[in-house]
Amino acid sequence: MTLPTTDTIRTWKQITRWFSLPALTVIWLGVVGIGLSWMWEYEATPGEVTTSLTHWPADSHIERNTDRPTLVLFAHPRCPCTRATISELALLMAHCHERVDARVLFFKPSSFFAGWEKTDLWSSAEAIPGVKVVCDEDGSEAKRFRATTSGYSLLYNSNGRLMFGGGITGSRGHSGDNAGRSAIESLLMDGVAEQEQTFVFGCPLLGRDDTCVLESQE
Amino acid sequence: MTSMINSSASDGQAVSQRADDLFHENRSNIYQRTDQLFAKLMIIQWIAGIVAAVWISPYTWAGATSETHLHVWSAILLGGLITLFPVCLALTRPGSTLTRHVIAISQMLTSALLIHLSGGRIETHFHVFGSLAFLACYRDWRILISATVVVTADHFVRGFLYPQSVFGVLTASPWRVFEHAAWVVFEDIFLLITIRQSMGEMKAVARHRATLEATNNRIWKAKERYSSILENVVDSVITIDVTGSIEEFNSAAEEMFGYKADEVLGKRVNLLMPSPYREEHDGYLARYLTTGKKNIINIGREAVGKRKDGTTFPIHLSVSEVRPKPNDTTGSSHLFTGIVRDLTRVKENVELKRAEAELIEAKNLSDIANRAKSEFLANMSHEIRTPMTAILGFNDIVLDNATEPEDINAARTVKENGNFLIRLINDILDLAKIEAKKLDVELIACSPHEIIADVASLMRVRAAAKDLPLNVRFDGPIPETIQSDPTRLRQILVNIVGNAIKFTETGSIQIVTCLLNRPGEEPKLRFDVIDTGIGIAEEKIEKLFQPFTQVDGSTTRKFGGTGLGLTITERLVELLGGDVSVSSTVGTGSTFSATISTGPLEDVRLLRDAVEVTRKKTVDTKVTDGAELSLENCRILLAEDGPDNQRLIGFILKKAGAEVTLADNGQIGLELAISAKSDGHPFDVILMDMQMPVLDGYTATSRLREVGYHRPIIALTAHAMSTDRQKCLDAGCDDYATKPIDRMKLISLLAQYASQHKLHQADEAPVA
Repeated sequence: MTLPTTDTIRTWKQITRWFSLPALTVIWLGVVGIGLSWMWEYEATPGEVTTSLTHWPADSHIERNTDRPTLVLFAHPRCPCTRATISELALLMAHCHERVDARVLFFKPSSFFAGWEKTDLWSSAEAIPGVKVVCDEDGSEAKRFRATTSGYSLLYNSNGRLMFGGGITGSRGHSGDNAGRSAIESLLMDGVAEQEQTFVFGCPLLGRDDTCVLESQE
Repeated sequence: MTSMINSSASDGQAVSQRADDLFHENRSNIYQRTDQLFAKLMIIQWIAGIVAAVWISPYTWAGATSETHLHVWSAILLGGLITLFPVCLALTRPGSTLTRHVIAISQMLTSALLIHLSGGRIETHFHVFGSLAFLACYRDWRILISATVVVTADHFVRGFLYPQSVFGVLTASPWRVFEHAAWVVFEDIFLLITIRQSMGEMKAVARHRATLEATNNRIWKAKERYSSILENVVDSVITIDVTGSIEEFNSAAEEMFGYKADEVLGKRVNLLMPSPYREEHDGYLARYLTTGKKNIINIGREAVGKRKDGTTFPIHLSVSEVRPKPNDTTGSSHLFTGIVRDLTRVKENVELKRAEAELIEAKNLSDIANRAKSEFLANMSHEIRTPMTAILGFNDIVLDNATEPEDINAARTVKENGNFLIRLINDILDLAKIEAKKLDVELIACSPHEIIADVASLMRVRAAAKDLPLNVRFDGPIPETIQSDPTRLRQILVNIVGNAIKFTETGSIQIVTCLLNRPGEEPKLRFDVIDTGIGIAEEKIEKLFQPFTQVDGSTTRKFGGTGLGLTITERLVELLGGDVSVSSTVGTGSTFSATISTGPLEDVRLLRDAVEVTRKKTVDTKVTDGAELSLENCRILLAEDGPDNQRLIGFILKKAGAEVTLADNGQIGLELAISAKSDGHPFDVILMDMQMPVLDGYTATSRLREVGYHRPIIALTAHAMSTDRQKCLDAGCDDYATKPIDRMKLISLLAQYASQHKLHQADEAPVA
């Protein structure tokens, strides 16, 4: 076995020096790409998928309008992703104010201090015309309506029959045109919609449920 | 002209090269500065992102529980990942191409992250445009390409895969990707135009700076040259403005005027001038500024300067004018530069040169006068000697034939007075030569014993006439020979001893000789002549050596004499390296002491029995003097124009037995000599007078030598100067006899040459 000569070592050092930074740059780009992909994946992953009640639960304390459809939206008052949902609600109400009554129920653990639920989201929702904001103590109503993810929206007609169930954002925290809001608007305007159910993108409303990820993948 | 063009082209190339260097240097600086700027910006962006994430979405909730929101971690980790790598490059490799491109890519990735995190909010797209504008600070269009490629690729990928993250909607037209890319390219176009213009301006600035540097360099060199000249020039250089205030005052001016520059800068220049030059100067300046009439500018004039100490000195002032350029906006002043030259030395030199010229002229006149005097003395000597030759010669003949006592006394009186006259002439000639420093002494080996013996023998006759014994004594050993001039030494001793005899009536005369050979001093020989004469009063001793002076007027009449003897003696003694002194007691006698230099005595024998040598010499001399001289069978050609001298010399020579042929001038003498030689009966000796009509003796002798005449020619001349003797020898004469002739010496000389020649012929005969 022959040892490498000094010239060979020098040449390799030069090559290493020459290519080290570009190679490092490529690696850097790759890692950044992976990071961004991970972000995409997180934001595109919906919350737990549940089977919505086809009729308004009888034991619900929420007032249902018998003259026109009622939209019930369950939200976590401190979920950053829900800010996009409130924005979409505002758009929805702007388009269909006279055709629907909206109820936004903000989850509040009973053990938490009074007013914990009254965040900027509460204020934003309360400021939307036609929207009634209600505190959902310990998520009792959410449990009745099987709402598990913040942003979960349910549209019932005046007879209490479910017309739509799901989220009104395209991904976590992303505002903009989406299938959920379009479907509700279509139902309110035209009585029909292409979709009656969408994924909900938001924080777990009542607690983490790992199964939602698996279900969404299915 | 060609060299100027080449030089100009070379300068242009140098400026272009320098401009390129400056441009690249500036661009590199911009790259580095912008890298560092982006490093700071990206750090701020990162921190701002983290703060925003913490502010907007600090936690993600799951019912009643919360944890740090993923956005916070993304802002920290992903933002850090995007930020730190380019920041490290900016800090470690500022200015490198890779750093710039990584920063551009990183900035676009940051935009992508922001757009992504904001859910595709359209407002966050402004980060892209702002970043591109900021990247344009690099003034490198290539990084805009990198940035644009990243933005476009991001929009394409996410636009197709997850449009809501970039466009905010779930469904977006594919053309929207192109629209976004087009807006980026649109901005790029503006930025590229801006960059191109900026690069052009940078190149122009670099070119201007290079030109400025070259100009500054030339100005600096010119200024250095100017400063060097200004500080080293001998003349003062003073610059003033139109008000006469001094603006520049060089070192020479400081030295010339005695002011330091700080003392006069800003002050009026007229403080360097006395009145009325001060007022004149102000008038000149004011008149020039109003009328343009020049009194000094470009003309120059002599003036007077005034030093700090108030003294004045002559100056030459020349002034040049420096006008500001037309339309000058740099505030250049209208200046006058004066060059002041101190004329003190020049004036002194002029005076010195004038004095020198006058001295030279006076010397020339003196030389002319001296030459005239010498010529006069020579001519006078010649003119007196010539008739004296006849007078004394014929007087000798008369004396020889006289039998009556009265006749004999009369003839002797004539002879004595004639001889006195000759001695007077000789003394005058000697003094004249001494004073003209033309008397040369020849230092040859000679015997002091013989010289003393000769003098004693000569003077003993005169002493005997007054019944005065003349004794010679040597104190201690005396060198056998010394380096001196025997003729002049003999003359010195004859003068001193002659004086002693003259002023001594009773008693004796004694010559005492001793050697002064003290260690460390030049050896000298001292001669003391001691008499028992009348003596000399002390106050009159000083006058003894002045020419034409004797102790008193009465002595002149009583003792006779020219009054030149001691003067000549003193000068001769000095010429021989010694001095003369006198000690005397009135009524008792005098001692004259003369010392002369002996020259080196290392190899010279010192004689103690010098008395014997002197006696022997005295006896030999007497024998020689008593010998009868004869010119029997000697054929002599006498070339002499004077009829009296022809008769006298012819008579003497014929009486001595010679056959004499006469020639009235040199031409006849020349012809007779050649003719006689041709006939086979050449003359044994030619006696040639040197001054003759038709052809002088010098020319005749030269021609005879030229035609191969080798027999003896004796010059005969009334000129007694040594230069005349040399002139005769140079002309070809064998020897020299002066007028008036000494009969015995002449016959002896002729007999000597005649016998030598005959002896020579006899030696040559057997060979022939």
